[in-house]
Amino acid sequence: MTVQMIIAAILIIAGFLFMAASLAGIIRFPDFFTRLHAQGVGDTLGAFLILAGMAVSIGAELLSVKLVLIFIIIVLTNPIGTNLMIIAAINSEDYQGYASKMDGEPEPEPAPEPEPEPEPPKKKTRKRKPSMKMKKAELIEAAEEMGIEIPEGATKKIILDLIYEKSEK
Amino acid sequence: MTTHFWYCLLAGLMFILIIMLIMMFRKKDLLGKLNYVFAMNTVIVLLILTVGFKDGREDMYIDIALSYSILGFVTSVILAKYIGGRKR
Repeated sequence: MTVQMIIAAILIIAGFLFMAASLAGIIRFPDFFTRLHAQGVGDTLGAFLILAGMAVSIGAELLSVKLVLIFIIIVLTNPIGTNLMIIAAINSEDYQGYASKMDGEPEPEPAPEPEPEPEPPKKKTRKRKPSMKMKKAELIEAAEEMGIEIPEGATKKIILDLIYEKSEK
Repeated sequence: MTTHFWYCLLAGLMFILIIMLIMMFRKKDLLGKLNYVFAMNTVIVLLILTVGFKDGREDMYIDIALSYSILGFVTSVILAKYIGGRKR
């Protein structure tokens, strides 16, 4: 049992204890966001200590550099994943009642208004401006409402001109 | 390092992994399950490494652990983005 093995064993056991503590935290914490915090911080620390113990047990070789690379990847990916889960929780509709808890008492829901009885569909009364698109009979009606005398055999254009003259006055 | 030590570490990590799996099936809401899936990623990476150290062939298993850590992270990101995460 050299000194190298003793140091590696101590590091690995400490890392394992931290991982067990983070697992206990994930199970027992009361809220979703606190559970995320326990997992994100505790898992990274436990992984770091175990990987350091493994690197010490090997010695100074290429393999220990690869273990450091694994640790760098874990350190970069754990917080990003935790952040994405927080975003997913916040943007969902009122996750675990956070929106109502922050303001104090939850606002009482407004009573649903009674729906108005469906009115019969109104008939659109035609109030279009007289134009060339209207038929001749409609133009004659509009002109007689305004009180214009229409000569016989008048075309649509003549009736329209009479209507415009009267409306301009 | 003797193989006894690595066997004990293997048993401990398997114990943690099984508890995480059981608690994941007991949860009812979706994001709580995703939390456990994300925690299992780190444990599985360490598990692959200890199997490698136990057999004496550590140079074979390190590359597998490296690629699994990246793949597991990508899986968790895709799941999280699918479940929620769109601004309303």
